Amino acid sequence: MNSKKNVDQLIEEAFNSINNIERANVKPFLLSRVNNRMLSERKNSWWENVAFYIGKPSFAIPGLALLMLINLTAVIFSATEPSASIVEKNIQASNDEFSYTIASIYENENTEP
Amino acid sequence: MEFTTLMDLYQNMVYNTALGIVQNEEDADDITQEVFEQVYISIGSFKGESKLSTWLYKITISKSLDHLKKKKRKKRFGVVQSLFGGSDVEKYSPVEFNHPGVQLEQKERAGELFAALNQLPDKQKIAFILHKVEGQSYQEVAEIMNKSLYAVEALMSRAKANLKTLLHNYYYKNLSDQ
Repeated sequence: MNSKKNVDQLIEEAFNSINNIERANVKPFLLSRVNNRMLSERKNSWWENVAFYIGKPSFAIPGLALLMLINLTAVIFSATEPSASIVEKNIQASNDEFSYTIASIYENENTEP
Repeated sequence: MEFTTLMDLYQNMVYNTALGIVQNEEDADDITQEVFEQVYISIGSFKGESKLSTWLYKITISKSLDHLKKKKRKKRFGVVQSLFGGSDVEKYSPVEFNHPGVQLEQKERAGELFAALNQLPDKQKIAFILHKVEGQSYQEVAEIMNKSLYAVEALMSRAKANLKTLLHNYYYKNLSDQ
């Protein structure tokens, strides 16, 4: 019973403790601090704007999609187009085969002296 | 009105409101700077439909709540980082807040009240601070919070009831520990 009375009294004291509360004062030179803050923010503003727009989903998602499209196109074209060295090798091989066939026909037809 | 005059007139009001909400002098100072920066940028959009002080209160409350949200997010991220072995994480320790405007002999009780106030939902906390700490009438609180008079009365009564419960639990535990 006594402790309940104490608790109620403490609660009342807590509520009354802010009855005559005074306004806290802000630290001095607020104006110059606000000015400095605005100046430093203006210095970074260009890069911040760029970073802000790049980071936006409306910019980032189409950008990534475009990049992936370019990569995909590059991969598909490199897979279908034979490289120059392979073409050259094929031509060389067919030339060799032609010479060999011609030589064999010649030798077969001219076996007797 | 010149910007410097406006700052002279309202800087303590803004600082005091922010201090009540965030309960940290450094943070309240930062918020005050942010508020006046915002005011400097968007003073043109102030149409004069409400009082200038009402507009300033709204900006201050919004900035203070944003600040608290950011702090909570940081704390949550810190906990996650510490789970994965992050060593640079600042450990959270509840700091006892002493409002500089409270009389010396009341500091202990006021500290306990502010600690309980910190556990209330945002709207109840703001209504209580505006009315009890800032000395605004229910009508003015309703204008600042964009609520009806009835809603503010309900918020205040719930805030008082919740504070009573929180303080009761705190004091009861302390007395039984002794």
